[in-house]
Amino acid sequence: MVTDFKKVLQEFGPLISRVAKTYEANHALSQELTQEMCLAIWQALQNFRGESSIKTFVLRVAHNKGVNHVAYYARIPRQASLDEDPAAPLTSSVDLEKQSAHQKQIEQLLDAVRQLPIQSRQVVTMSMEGMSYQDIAEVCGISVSNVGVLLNRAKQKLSERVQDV
Amino acid sequence: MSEQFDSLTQLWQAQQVDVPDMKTINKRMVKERVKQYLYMAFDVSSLIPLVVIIYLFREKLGVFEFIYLSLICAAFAVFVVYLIYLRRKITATQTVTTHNYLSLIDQHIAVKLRILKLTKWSILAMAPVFLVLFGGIWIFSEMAFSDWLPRILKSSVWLVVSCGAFWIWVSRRQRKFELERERVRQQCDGALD
Repeated sequence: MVTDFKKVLQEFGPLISRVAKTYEANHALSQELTQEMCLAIWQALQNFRGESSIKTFVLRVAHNKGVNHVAYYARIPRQASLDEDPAAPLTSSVDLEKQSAHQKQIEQLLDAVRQLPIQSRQVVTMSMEGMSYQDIAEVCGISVSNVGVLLNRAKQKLSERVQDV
Repeated sequence: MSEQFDSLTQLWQAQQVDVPDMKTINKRMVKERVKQYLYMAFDVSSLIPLVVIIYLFREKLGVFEFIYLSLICAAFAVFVVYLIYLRRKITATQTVTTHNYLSLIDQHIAVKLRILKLTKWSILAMAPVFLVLFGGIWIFSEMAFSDWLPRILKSSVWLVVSCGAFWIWVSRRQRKFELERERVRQQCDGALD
C-alpha cells in the first residue's frame, strides 16, 4: 500500500511539528527534527501495509525519530529560550500581556512534557492529540493497561509542574 | 484532574507549529541515498587497491609474497562483507513500536561499538601483519640487509603515523557512542529492562 507523502504531510504536518517540540526545546533544532521526522516517514511509507491507521503509523515513525534525536543530542533536553521562538506580531499592550502569558503557559507545558521519561512523554502527548488507549498502546508497544498507568502518572506530574491553567 | 488535563490539551493544541518544507525534504532524501551508496562504495573500494597491486605485480612478487597478500586480501574481503552487513543492520526499519525501537537503538549502538572494537583490533593486527610480511620478504627473497632496513623503516613510520591517527579517530567515536548509549538508557527510565 503506497500512500501519497504530500497528502500525509498536509494532514499530519502540524502533528509532526508538535511531536518534534516534545523532543527538542531549541527552535532551530526542533525545525530540523521536524524535517528529519518527515524524511523518516517518507522512507517508511514504502513499508506501510495498512495494518494500523496512517496516524498511528506516522506517530510511531515520528516518535522513533525523536528517540534517535534524544540519543544523539542532549542528556537532559535544553530549555527553550523565549528569544529563540518567533512570537506572533502583537498589537496592543493588553494583547501583549495576554499573549505573553499564554505563550509562557505553552512553554511551561512543553518544558514539563520534555522532563518526562520517553514513554510517559509519548503516552501523554498522544493522549493530548486525541488518540485512544488502544492506538497509543499500538504505537508504544505496551499493553493498554500500562498506557493507563503511564498516562495517570504523567497527568499528575504535568498538573504539578504547569500552574494556573 | 480531568478538567485540568482538558485545559492542558487545549493549550497543547494551541501551540505554534512549523510547517515542514517539501523542497528541503526532497533534497535531503536524495542526499541521504547518495550518502548510503557512498558508504558502501567506500567499503568496497578499500579492497580494490590491494587486488590491483596483487594483479599488477603478480609476476614480480615472490611465491611467499603472492600467497601472503592473497590471504590478507581474502580475509579483508570477508571483513568488508561483514561491515556492509552491519551497516545494513543499522539502517533497519523505523516502523517498529517504540518499545522495540528503544531495544533496537540499544542494539544498534552495541553493533556500532562492536564495529569500532573490531576496527581497533584490525589496526593492532597491522603491526604483526607487516612484521611477518617484511620478515618473509627478507627470508625468502634473500634481500640484502642494507636494502631491507630502509624499506622497513619507511613503512614502519608510515604505519605508525596512519594507524595512530586512525586509532585516535576510532577511540573518539567509541567514546561518543558509549555516551549515546548512556543517554538512551537514562531517557528510557527502565523501559529497556
